[in-house]
Amino acid sequence: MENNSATATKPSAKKIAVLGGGPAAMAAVYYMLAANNWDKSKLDITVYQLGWRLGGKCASGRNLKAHARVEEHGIHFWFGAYHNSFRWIDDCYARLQQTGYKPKPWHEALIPCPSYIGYENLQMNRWDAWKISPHTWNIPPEKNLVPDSQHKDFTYYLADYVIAALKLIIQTVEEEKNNLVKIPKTVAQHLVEWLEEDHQNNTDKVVTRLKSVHDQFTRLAEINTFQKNHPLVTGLLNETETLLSFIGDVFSSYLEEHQILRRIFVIVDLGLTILNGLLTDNVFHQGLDSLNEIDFIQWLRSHGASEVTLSNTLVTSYYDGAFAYRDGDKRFPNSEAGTTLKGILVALLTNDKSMFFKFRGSMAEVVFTPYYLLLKEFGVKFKFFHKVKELHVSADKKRIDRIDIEKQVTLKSGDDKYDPLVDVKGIKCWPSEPKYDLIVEGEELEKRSQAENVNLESFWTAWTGKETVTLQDGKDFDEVIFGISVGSIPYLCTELIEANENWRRMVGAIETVPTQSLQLWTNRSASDLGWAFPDVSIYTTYHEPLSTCCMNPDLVALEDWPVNNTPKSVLFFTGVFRDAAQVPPPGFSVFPQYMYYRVAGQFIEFLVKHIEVPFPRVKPSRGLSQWFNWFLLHDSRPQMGINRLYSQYMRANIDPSERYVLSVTGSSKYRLKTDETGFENLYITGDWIATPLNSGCFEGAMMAGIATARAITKVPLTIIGEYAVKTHESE
Amino acid sequence: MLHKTKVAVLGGGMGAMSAVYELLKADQFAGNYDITIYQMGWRIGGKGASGREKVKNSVNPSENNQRILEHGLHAWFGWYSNAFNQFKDCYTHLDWGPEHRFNTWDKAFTPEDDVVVMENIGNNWKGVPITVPAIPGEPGGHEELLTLAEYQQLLAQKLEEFFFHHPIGQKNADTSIDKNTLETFWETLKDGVDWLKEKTLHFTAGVIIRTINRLILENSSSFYQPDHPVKPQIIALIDSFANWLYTKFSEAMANDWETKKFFTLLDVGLAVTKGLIKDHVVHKGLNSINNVDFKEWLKRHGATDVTLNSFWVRTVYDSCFAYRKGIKEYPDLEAGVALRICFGIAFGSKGHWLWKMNAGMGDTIFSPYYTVLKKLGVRFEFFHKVKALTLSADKGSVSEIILERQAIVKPEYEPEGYQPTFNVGGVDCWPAAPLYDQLVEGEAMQQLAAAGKNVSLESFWSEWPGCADESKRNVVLKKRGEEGTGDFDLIILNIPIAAHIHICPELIQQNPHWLDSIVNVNTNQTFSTQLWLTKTCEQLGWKFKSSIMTAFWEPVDTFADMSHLLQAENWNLETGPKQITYLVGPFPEQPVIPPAGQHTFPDYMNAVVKDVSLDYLEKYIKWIFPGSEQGGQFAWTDLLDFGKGVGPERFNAQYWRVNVDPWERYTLSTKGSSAYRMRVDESGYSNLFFTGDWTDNGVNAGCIEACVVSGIRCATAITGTDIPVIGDNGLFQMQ
Repeated sequence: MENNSATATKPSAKKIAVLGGGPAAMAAVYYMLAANNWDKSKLDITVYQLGWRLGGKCASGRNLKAHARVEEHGIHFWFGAYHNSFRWIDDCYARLQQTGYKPKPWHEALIPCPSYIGYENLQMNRWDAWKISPHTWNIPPEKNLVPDSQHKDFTYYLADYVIAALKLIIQTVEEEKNNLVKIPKTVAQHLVEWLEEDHQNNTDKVVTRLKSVHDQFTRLAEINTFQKNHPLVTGLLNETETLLSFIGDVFSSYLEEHQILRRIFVIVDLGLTILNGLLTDNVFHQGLDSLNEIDFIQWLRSHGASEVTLSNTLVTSYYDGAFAYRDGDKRFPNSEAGTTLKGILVALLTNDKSMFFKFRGSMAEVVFTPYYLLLKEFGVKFKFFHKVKELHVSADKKRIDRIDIEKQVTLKSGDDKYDPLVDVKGIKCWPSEPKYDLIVEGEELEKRSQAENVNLESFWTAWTGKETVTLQDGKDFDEVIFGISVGSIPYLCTELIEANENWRRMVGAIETVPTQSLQLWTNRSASDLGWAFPDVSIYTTYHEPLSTCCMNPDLVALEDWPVNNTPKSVLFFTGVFRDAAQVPPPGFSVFPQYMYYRVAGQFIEFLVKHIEVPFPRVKPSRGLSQWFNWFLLHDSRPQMGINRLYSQYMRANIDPSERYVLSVTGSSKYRLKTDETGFENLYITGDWIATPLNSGCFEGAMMAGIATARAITKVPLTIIGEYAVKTHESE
Repeated sequence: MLHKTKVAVLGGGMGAMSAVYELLKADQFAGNYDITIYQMGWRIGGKGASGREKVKNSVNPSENNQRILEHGLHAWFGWYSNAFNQFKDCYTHLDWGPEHRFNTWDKAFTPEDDVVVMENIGNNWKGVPITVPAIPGEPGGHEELLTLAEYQQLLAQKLEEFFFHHPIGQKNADTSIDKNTLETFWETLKDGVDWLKEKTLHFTAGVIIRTINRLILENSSSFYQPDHPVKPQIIALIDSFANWLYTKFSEAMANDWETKKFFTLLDVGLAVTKGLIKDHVVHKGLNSINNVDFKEWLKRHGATDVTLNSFWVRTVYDSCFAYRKGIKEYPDLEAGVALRICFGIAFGSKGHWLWKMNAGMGDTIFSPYYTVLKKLGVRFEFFHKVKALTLSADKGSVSEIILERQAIVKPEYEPEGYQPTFNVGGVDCWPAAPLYDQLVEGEAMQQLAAAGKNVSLESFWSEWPGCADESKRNVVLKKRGEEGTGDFDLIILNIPIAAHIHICPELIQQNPHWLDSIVNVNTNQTFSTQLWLTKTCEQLGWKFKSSIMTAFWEPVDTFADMSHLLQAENWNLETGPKQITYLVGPFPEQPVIPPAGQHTFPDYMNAVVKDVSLDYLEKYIKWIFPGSEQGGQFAWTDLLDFGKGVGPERFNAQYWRVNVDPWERYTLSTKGSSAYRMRVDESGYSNLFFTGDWTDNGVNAGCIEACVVSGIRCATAITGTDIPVIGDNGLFQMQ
């Protein structure tokens, strides 16, 4: 250790109060230090964190009462297209060497998942698993990613993206077409061989026409002409219409039964409908944001996409991944068309090495342990157990004047001395409960937690704080970074909302949604449970309420199980959670428990009725087909039946700050940039602020954090993708 | 010694009026109940409260123009037997002479026979007038409603009649139905109904629909059996007819309005018939299909997307604001509740399908109730806002009611207390604001309100601190103990469900059923805009007989011509308005409902309503009032403004509001929510009863009939006397 953090800061250093310790807030702190060349004397930063751990929605905990198992908010992936996040982790792990903590290289913590299964929902409640392996690129992180110096925006590159997408479509259709030949024929099928030949001929025609569409569009891009009435555009639109009606004519009768034809149909229908829509709605000139007043599915429908396509996994996987269902109700998918399309194009066409990466351990250990250790090393003060209660506006309404903060507990060693980490097999982890022995009220807290909701992270906690401190502008802070999620703003920022219409419109427009998750430690491996795709560990768009699953057998080794009684795998499930009709006010302490039992009830139904499709071997024995074999669930105690489920980890993410941030139609335009708060000394940060992505994800938070650091330090930090990401050509 | 049972009624909405009246009636007015109604603010009526506001008339300053300000458009359906019966019964206690404008109950209403529904064709809207059939006579009466089996029969019969009366039906009655579509039908015919086979050698459309009707009529008892063989036969016939219908008309209806109407009515009617049979609804009751949304249910039983988006279906949703969070993309309505409403209106309207009130709802409905209940000894404590209910030590009952006294009457008005109404043209009217003169705090309230502060006594976000004398602000009512001291024995809670989490969190947390209700019973925001126009309906270009229009652009989906109120509002017919328009609809709500400290929230939401209303006037009102368009724009001079505003400014002289308070929110019947509603006696506490449309009362829709029925059930629960509810034989049957 090279520095002693207590003495390094100069008195003249700018005092920055950071409210909340989620991904964006940490990125902001990280990049503020980076912008100052890691000179810790220039900034005096204090992070105020509710409860005992950092991480926000990505916080996780090791349950030390249950073999140090990992308990997460839900499944976390990184997309291969998270260029800022990968750039950060590379940099952070290099710097981490200075702290003396030496975790394994991050490459070992993030596992590429080039393929996933998307479930196609067919009639009569049938499900067909589609193994999707999006094309991947292999680019060193920094190459071609730096924003164009002329500040060209995404729209400038849109045509390039479309060309690359068309190439992909052609390639995929050709691959599927080859599968057409490979199908082993039954006797009956031989009788209709002429039909198969027909299909092949038709598919050949599709490919030929697709190539023509590609060539025509490339010509348009070359001459940079996309006006609807231009003869070349009209010609292209005719060509796409012809192709769409052709596939409608020749394939539509086979969509239910013929897997390959359906998939070709859906790919072509989706791709060309998008192209049609982009040209018809003049998006190449007006930009993708011009589509944000309409939902993506509605937009596709308005441009003639088939209902088969709209309900297909290719479309719904975006919605499931982004929890894009208003009110958490599967009947009401909603996601801004422009934001969605941009997300899809970026994820698909700029992914580096793999579409997805999953975490070997928990995200908190891979991301927030390094953040914590490094930032602490560079003088950042962390005040855990500090719950923000209210922000007050100055009399002239120009500044944040005071911040009320509740100290939730009294620390035996003083406010910023709490050591939040525990060691599990050499990894520095975050425990799932506070370290009671470091807390004056620890014994009471632990005891009461057996019987009631005294969870320090809960909005409805029955625990009352020990003291309220008020931070003063000019004395305790010069600048404030508000890093708490948007769902909490109405409860913390009444004065800001009343003083500034932009805030009012922002909280009026941005919607959030509860999510739910289930972690099962199983006594059998996924394949022994009947999972049929050994090289795939993710599926999505399956039955609600848990439409997405990630299988993580590697996690067990990082937990602390007895050698003779180790689970074989951990299955993570997640999905959107239907919102309650009313969100009770604070103090309504049984609410989380009620919602916990609500998700538990849904999970039981899911396991009994639906899990059989991905995992066929979960039924106890003949005659009990209406049940689930609870002995497949690992339990350290000798419990029977459904009690074994209650030994797993179930979670309802319902706290205002845990709710997932949506991009509902017409909301992005009300998002504010980090420095557009209307208050001189206030910056906002999080995946809910205006970012190049405008969607709820780690990369969005990372972009937000860098933007905040840039705004405060005035150092021109780069955000990859701020103006454009253009990588697909470096194939 | 017997003493009176002391009842504290919290909230004075329709559910409370009904419960109290029925309680007194069940007691045969013998005086065994000592009842006090605690009401926040200055008026009773809950969501039906209305108020009079004097208009500053610069043209004739001496005129006493008292315009009516409502929460929204209220009207009584002709099938509301319980509500009409009770209202009429209530009138028997009044000895109002001719000096009272509404001295008999029927003078309080104006009937309506038609409705205009709007259909969107391309970029145009078209109004379609529909006459709603009614049973002769007057609403109410003590005969039972029809049974579900009878509704099912009636539906089939009406579909047949519609088909044969409609020119398109007549023209197509003899077109034969494609043989292939009948194959399934023949399969099911194997076991009988041979007469059919003989008589219907030609399978024409007319024969099929006639056969469906006949099979339903002749086998009425079979619908109580789950697996009667006639059921699949009827379903097969419906399928073949529906196929024919689709094949024959799906293309034609795209361009022809009349064909679309013909198609969609038959399509929706057949889907309902099929659903009733397939889901055994006659046998299992309407609640058995409340786990499905109405549209989903229709779709499941074969209705096409065109039909689902047609005005037939949208009208049902619009009639009960059935959009979750007030957002048009969220239609959500329990199938059983939807059918209840449809059957009630289509086959149960008495006299006329709709009855509009002849003054404000407060003036028309709540004044008689207030007068009668007062006469019967019920006390009204205005300006008492419930803050909390406290649990007894054994957690089995409510021990205390804590109220905030919002204002105190000036000494000179004691001992009579606050006089809440005043006379306008022979009607006891409620004011739109407290009668400040009577209150100690009256002046302070007016000053703060004039300074832009939210000091509304009815607002959840109010910054009004309570009555001036701080020592009197907190009122604690105590449960009467064995020694006989205390303030109440029983509580009737009429405050709506969306307010419960704020007043009784402790009680809810002890009772999982109550918590279920909180989490599952949705409510939404509605808005209301009232316009006073300087032209008559005719001049504005309204070309229909009906005064009600619905299924229009969201959120302003419903319009009513309320010109019949011109007299009640005391206008000079020369200089005053010539027409009154009410606009209502569900209103999109904020992602997070802010805590009580955000005092400006209601003003902000009101401003949003204003924006939407202006948008509506600029772009959409032309579809109902073509005469209001001038040079391609709305003629703002059509809005009455004595202040001589220019252009859109004239809107400021109109009235608009958003019903945003927890107690104002409209009770929805979202899919699956009925199962979680609580009955009036299911509070889990021995001395606490419920009444209100949010309870599980058999109606389970947000309406006056549900309020009255819940009140009856509440009185039944308290007295143990079984007070009959009309509809318990089928439509309102509780499983």
